[in-house]
Amino acid sequence: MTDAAPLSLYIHVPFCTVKCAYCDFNSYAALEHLSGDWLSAALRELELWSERAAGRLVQTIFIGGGTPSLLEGDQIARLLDAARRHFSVAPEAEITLEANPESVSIERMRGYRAAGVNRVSMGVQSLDPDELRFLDRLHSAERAEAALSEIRAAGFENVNLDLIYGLPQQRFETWRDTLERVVAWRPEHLSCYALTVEEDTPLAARVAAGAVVEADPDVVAEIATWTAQRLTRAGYEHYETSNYALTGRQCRHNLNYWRCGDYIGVGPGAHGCFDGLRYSVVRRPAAYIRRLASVAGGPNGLPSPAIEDIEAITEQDALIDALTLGLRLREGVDLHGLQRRHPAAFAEVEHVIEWALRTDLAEQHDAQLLLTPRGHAVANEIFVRLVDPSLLPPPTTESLA
Amino acid sequence: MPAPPVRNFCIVAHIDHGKSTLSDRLLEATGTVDPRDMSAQLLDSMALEREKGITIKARAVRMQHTARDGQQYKLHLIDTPGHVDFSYEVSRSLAAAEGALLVVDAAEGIQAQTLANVYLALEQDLALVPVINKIDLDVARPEAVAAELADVVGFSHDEMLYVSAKTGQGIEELLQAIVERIPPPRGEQSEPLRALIFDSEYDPYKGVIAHVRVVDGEVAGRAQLRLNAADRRFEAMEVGSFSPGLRALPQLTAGDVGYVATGLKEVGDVRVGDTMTMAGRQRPEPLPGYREPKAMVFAGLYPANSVDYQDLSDALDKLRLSDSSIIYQAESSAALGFGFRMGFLGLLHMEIVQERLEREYGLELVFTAPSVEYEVETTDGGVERIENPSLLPAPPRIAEIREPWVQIHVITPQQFVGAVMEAVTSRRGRFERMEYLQRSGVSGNGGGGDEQIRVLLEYAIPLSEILTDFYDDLKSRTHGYASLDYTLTGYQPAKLVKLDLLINGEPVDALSAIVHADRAASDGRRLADRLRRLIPRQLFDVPIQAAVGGRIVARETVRAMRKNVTAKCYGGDITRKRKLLQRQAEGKKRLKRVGNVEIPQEAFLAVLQIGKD
Ligand SMILES: Nc1nc2c(ncn2[C@@H]2O[C@H](COP(=O)(O)OP(=O)(O)O)[C@@H](O)[C@H]2O)c(=O)[nH]1
Ligand code: SF4
Repeated sequence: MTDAAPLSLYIHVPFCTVKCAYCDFNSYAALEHLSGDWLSAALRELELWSERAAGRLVQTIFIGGGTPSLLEGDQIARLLDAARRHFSVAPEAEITLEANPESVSIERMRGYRAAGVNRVSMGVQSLDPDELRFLDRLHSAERAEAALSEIRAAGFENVNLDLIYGLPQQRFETWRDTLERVVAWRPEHLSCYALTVEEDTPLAARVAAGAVVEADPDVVAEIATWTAQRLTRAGYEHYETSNYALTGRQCRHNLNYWRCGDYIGVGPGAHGCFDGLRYSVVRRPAAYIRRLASVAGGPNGLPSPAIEDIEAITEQDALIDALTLGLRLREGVDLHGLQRRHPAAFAEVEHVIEWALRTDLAEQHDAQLLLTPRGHAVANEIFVRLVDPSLLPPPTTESLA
Repeated sequence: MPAPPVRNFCIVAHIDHGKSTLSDRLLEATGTVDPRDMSAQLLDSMALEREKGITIKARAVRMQHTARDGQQYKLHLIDTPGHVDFSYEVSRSLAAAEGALLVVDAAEGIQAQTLANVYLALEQDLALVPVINKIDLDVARPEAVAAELADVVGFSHDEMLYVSAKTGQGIEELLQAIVERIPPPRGEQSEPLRALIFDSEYDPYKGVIAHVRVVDGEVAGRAQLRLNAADRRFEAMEVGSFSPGLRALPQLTAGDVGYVATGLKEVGDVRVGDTMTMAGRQRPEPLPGYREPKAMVFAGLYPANSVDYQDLSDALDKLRLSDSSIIYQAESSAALGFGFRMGFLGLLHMEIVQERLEREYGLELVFTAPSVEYEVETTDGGVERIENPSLLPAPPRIAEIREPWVQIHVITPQQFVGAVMEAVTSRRGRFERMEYLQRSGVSGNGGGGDEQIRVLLEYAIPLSEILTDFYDDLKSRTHGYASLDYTLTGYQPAKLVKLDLLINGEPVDALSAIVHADRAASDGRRLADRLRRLIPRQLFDVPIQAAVGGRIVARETVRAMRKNVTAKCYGGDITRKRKLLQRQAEGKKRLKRVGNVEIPQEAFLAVLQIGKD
C-alpha cells in the first residue's frame, strides 16, 4: 500500500569538466577521480533511505548536477536500479538527467535511455559564441544542436533546454537569435533564466572589481516580456517564472518542489524535504564519501549519516514556502487550503495578500490566488512582504500611481 | 615638611603631532607609570578618540619629578581636548595652568588650530615652551619649523627644545624647562576656596567627578561645597589626584590639580568653567571666564526603526554622562516619526556623537543634514531661534533672517592660496587678511624653497557654508596640507529661503533646508537629482519635486521598477530561498517610509551634498 502524497527523488552528481564563472552549484571540476567512490556512496545512501521511504510512491527522479552526462550509461543504470530496488518507483515516473552538450554522445544517451531515463535537460545557455565564452561554456552552438539530435536519435521525446539571458551588456538581438533558433528545434520544455550574480562566484568578483557591469534591469525586463510573448505564440505555456512547456510537458519534478511536496535528496549538497523536515547533505564530495562509509544513521532519525543541516519547518515557514513557491506558478495557490492548514500564520499575511490584490499584482479566481503578469515580474516585492508583513504600510495610506 | 613646589601645564598640539606619545614619555620618565604597564597612550582613553587621533576627555595627571637642583616637584599635566570644536574647553584647561608646551611636528610645522590655541594661551598669560617633536624623522626640518615658530609666535631660537617623543631624546631637558620656565601657581591657601572646573566625568558610585584646579584655599573630603553658576550644593565624597588613576588624598590645596567626587547625578550641574566654593554664607568672587556651553550645529536624530525610540532616548541620557556638552530635545517629524533635535559644539563633535551612538550603543540611526541656528525676526517684532529648517515661519511672517558667521583661519602652503580663495568665495566667504608665516623660504631637507612657505589666511564666512563639505574640499584643493580653525563672530542678516522637497506629492519635513535665495533654484535642482539617484525604484513612479515658497523649481521621477524576481529555485534549497528573502526584508526594514515611498537613510543626508554636482 502506498501513501497518496507524491514523493520525488533527487540525486546529485558533483562533477563538471570546468567550473563556469557564474555557477554556484555544488560542482567541482577536478574531482572526477572520485566518481567511483561517489557512486558507491550514493548507492549506499539510496539503500539507507529505503526503509524510511517505504510505502511512498516515487513519482519523479531527477539526476542533477554538476554534469551527470559525464557518467557512463552503466553507472546511471546502477543508480536507477538501486532506486527501483529500494523505493517504489511509479511505472510512469518522470526520470530526468541533466546534460551538457560537450559530454553528450549517442551511445551514452542510448545507455541512459536503456537505464530508464525518459527526460533530458540540457544546458545550452546561449547560441552566441561571445556569450558562450563569457559564460565559460565548453560547447559551441553547433555542438548544442548536434547534441540535441543525438538525444533525439537515442529516443528521448521529452527534452528541456536551459537558456540564460540578461548577461552583462546583453543585446536584445543576440537573445532573439538564440531563442528563435532554439524554438525552431521544438524542445518540449524551455527554462529561460535571467543571469543572477551569485555571491562568492568568479563572476561576482568581476562585478565587484568593476570588470563586468551587470545588465541594465530595464533591458532585462524588456527581454523577459518579449520572451514570454514569443514563447506563448510558439505554443509554450509559461507555467512558472522561468519555465515554459508544451502541453503536458511541464517538469513534474520541479512542480513537486513548487507545490511543497516531499522529496528525498541524495548525493553531496543535495537538499531534501521529508516528514516536516528540510535537510541538506554535506557538500564536499570527499566528506560525503567518508561519511557514507561510516555507520548508518543521521541526525533527527534521518537515515543518512551524510546529512548535515536540518530544519524543522514551522507553521509560518510552511505557509511562506507554499506562497513564495506556489505563486511562481501560473496556477497559483489554493488560499482556502492554506488557510485551513496554517490558520494562525495565514492571519499574519492576510493583509499582504489583500494588498497584492488591491494593487493588481495578484488576482483571485474562487479560492485560487495567482499573480498577474506584473505581479510575476516583481514577485520578490510581494514575497518580502509575505516574509515580513510589517513592511507593509497600513492599508489606508496605500495608493498606486 | 613643606609641600613640594608645583608646576601646572598643558600641551597644545595639532592632531598627530605627538601630544599623546610625549605625555606617555613624561609619565614614564617621572616614574608615574611603569613602562611595562603602559598601554600605548594612556591619556587618550576612549577607543574612538584613539581611532580619530583626538582627545575629547581632558585628564590631569600628577607626576613627581626631581629636578637637577635636587628639589622635588609636583607636576600636573592637564590634557586639552584636541579639536577646534572644543575651544572653550581648551581655554578652561589652559586657565587651570600656568604654562603650556607648544608641540609642533618637525616635519609639518605649525597648524591653524594650534595657532588658535597659542593665541588662547597667550591671552591667559601662560608661559609657552616651544617643543619641536619628531626630530628623529628623516623628513624632519627642525630649523625651518623653529624659524616659523620664531616668526609667528616670537620665540627666540635658544628657547626651542628639540625632542623625539618616540626615542625619548630631549625629554630630560624638557622636564628641566618645565620646572625652570613655567612659574609656580599664584593663589592664596588662606583665602576662601575657589576651584576652577575644567572637566568632568561620571562615575556610577561617586557621581559626577569634577576635574578641578584649586586656585585659592583648600578642599578636603566631606567638605560642604557649592557650584556657583549651577547653584548647587553638595558634600564632597572624596578628593584626590590622577596618578594617573583616581587616588584619594586628604585634601587639595591652592595650586593643586585633581578631582572632587561630587556625588551629584546630573552632569549638567558640573559645568566646565564654573567655580567651586565652600557652601557657607561667605561667597568669594567667582573665577572669571565662565560661559554656558553653546551649540553651534544642530541635526535631527531618529531611530531607523521607530520601535527603538526608547533605546535612543536611554542612550542619549547615558551619553550625556560622558559628554555634558551635547544638548537634545524631543521632536517629531512627519517623515521620520519621533526623535530628537541635537545640538553639538561643532561638526567633529557631531560626528563623534553619531559614531558613538551607533558603535557603542548599537543603534541604527537616521540623521538629518546639520543646520545652524538662525535668528528670525518676525513681522510682529518677535525673535525666534530656528534650528530645524522645517520650522522656519512662513515668508509673510518673516521680517528678517540672520545667520551665524564665523571667522576662519586657514594655514596653507603658498601655492594653494588661489584654490583656497576660490573655495571660500564660492561659499559667500569674504577675504580679510593674509600673513606669511616665514620671512623667507627657509627649508629643511635642502629642498626647493617655495613649497615650504606657508601663509595664514583669514576669512569671514557664514557658518552654514562650512558645515558640509568645506573641510574636505579644502583638503582636496591643497593636497591635504591646509588646516582650518573657526570662531563664531556673530549674526548677520541674509537673504535666506526655505527649500522644500516633495516626494510623491508630499512635503518631507526632514529634507527641508534653508538656503540662500540666489542659489535656491539650482540647489533645488541638484537636490532633486541627487534624491532621484538615491531613492530605489518602487512599484510605482515616484515624482520628486523641489519647491521654494510654494513654487516648484525642480522635478524628477524615479521610474517604477520593472523586474524583481529570483530566476532560479536553487535545486530544492528552499531554506536558502527563504533566507534570501528574509535578508531582503531586513534591508527593506532599514528604509524609511514616507507615505508609501521607501527612502534609504542616506537620502536624508542628501541635503549635505547640496553644494556639489
Ligand atoms: N618618528 C616619530 N614619531 C612620533 C614621535 N612622536 C609621536 N610620533 C608618532 O606620531 C603619531 C601621532 O602621535 P600621537 O602621540 O598619537 O599624536 P597626538 O594626536 O598629538 O596625540 C604616532 O604614530 C606616533 O607614534 C616622534 O618623536 N618621532
Ligand atoms: S556546467 Fe552547470 S553545474 Fe557545471 S559548473 Fe557549469 S553551470 Fe555549474
